[in-house]
Amino acid sequence: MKSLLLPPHPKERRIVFKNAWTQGYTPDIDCYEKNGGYAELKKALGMKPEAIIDEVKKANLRGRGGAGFPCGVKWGFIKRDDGKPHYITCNADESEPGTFKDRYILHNDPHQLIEGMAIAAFALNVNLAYIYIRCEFPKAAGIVTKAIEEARAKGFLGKNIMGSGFDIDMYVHQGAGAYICGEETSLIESLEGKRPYPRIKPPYFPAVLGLYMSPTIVNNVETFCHVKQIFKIGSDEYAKMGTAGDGGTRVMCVSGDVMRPGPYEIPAGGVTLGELINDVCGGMKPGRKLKAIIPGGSSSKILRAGETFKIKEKGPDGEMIEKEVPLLDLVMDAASLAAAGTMIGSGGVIVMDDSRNMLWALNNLNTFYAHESCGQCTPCREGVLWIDKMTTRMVNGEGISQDPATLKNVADNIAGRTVCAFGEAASWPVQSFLQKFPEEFEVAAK
Amino acid sequence: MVVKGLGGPLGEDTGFLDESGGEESHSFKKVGKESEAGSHTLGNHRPSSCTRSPSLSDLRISCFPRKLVFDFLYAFMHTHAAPSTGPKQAELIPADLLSKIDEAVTHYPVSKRSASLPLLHLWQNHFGFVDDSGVDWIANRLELQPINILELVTFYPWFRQQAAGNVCIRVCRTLSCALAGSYEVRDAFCKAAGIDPKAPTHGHTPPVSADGKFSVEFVECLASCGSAPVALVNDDLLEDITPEGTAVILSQYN
Repeated sequence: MKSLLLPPHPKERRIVFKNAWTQGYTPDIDCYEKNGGYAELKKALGMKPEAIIDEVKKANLRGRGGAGFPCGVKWGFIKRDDGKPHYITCNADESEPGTFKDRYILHNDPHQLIEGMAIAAFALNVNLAYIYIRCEFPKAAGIVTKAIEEARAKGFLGKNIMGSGFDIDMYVHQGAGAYICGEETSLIESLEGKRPYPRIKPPYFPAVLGLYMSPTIVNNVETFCHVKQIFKIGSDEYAKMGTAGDGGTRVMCVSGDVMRPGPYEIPAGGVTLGELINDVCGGMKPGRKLKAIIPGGSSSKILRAGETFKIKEKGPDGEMIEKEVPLLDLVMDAASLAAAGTMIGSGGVIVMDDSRNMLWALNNLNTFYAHESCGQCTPCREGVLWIDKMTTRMVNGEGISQDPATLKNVADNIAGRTVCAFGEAASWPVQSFLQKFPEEFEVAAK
Repeated sequence: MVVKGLGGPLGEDTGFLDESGGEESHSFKKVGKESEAGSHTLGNHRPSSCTRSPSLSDLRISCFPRKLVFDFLYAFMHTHAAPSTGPKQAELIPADLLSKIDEAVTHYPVSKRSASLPLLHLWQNHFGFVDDSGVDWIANRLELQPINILELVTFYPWFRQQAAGNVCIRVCRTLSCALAGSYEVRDAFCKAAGIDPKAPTHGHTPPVSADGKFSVEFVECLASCGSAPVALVNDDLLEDITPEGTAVILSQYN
């Protein structure tokens, strides 16, 4: 990745990516220890587990996998002393189109992840942890497995770690090419050796009935790395970096039609969409104008260039005032994007310029969702397939006038009617593309 | 042993039904060690023949009366299936694979079933694909029914029931790569490898070049959108590929 070899942009603040992109940094344990590695684990082992969870809560760390659930709150669901075995699982099944951050951590700085997981394990009274890595990262699986062995040999994992009396074992588990395994209950089914059909919530909240029907915490790779960083920086300092309710830094993965695509680690809410695209990423390609932005992975709703949003903000006298915010002035944090009707998700920003056909782009995503639907729920299995068939037909010039209405109808009938959020993930693009770019669909539906 | 899975001619199917007699073909009896129970549970393999069609349509048929559909598809697909030749994979397991398998099972102290995917990976890494004997062997090793393993092989896109090329090229198809020209890259790979670009783009059985050296397929997002278009060639992620560069890449792996 070329952009990472450049010095960090002034807007960037590399914490999680700090080591990974330092020249000469190697993924072995000696290099990690030389750079202060496993000091935070030692610190955490001297703390009360409840205090560890409180620190994470105070840091306002939100999950980095896409749903953005507050991490400390999630951990708080686990009752430490309920007598059941507990598990943690790292979700390294990074497969949301537009998101590309975890591989760099797994390849270049695997011990950061292991340390974060070990801290979480101690806080949650977990003795067995798995790292679920998608099989399309074969090298990452090898690197992380080696890192686990190194950590075990040095006494950071295994029995009685660092003389604390606490045992934690950790293993790598490889997926097998299914996007649905990124959904946490599906990941758990896959880890149990079954077809990864998501479980229905309630009752199968992982924190209650997770892996082997025991309380389980599933967190993203980046989230676990942030846990380690919270103990390094301090929760107050960490929370200050971001906005209220969204602490720390975020890796924004920018791809598509910009000059310098890449993953950029930026304090949450530290840039606007315009600054991210035009300043950090060097702007659009020469002679091209911005047309559309998918701001948080392919499942988030698309935004159209020139749009404005009405966002409520606290005024100087403490009252809420409504402000009109143009697209490029949208702040990149969870709350602002939610107010604009979309989401920050996993931070995968896909930028498209005026040479792109939106019907073609939507069809590409529909083919993805049709391929990846697990087939458990009828609305999704059938609906996504038909949506894909319809847009494919329209792209081939065989659209009929009812197509846009039918597309919307099918999408509306998938969202909210499936076991997992895949239904929404697949129908939101259809709904938002149709809403934001109706003219392109009308042209194709003649 | 009557039904030998994919490669068996149609006639053997009838033989299976005759011999199974009063036993129900979907019985949940534990997999036996020896041939008698083996031939009985192998009945579960007949659905595997229909998995040569895309996985989604495979899933959809599960709503229909199973026996009707499977009998039809078994008869239909076997008119196309290549006859199985040579020894079965389960007869050729080397010692180092066995020890890796034993090691992998220890990673799952709570449930051996969790080792299904790791064992399938080890198996496919060694043999290139998973044949019926592999499904049986893994099921037996983990004290499961063969269908418990077969349903994974047919669900997860990574697993194959037939060999792919020695050099396996997986081009990312999803949006960011497509914006950067991954369709052109895939076609260029096909051309350079001597594969018809009109061949199916997805599926458990990708198109393989006539010499068996290369297979080219589309896969969904490889999570490297910033360096699009990308492809996974065997275990290597290649970034910023151009159509013109594909021939050079093939020559490096040849």
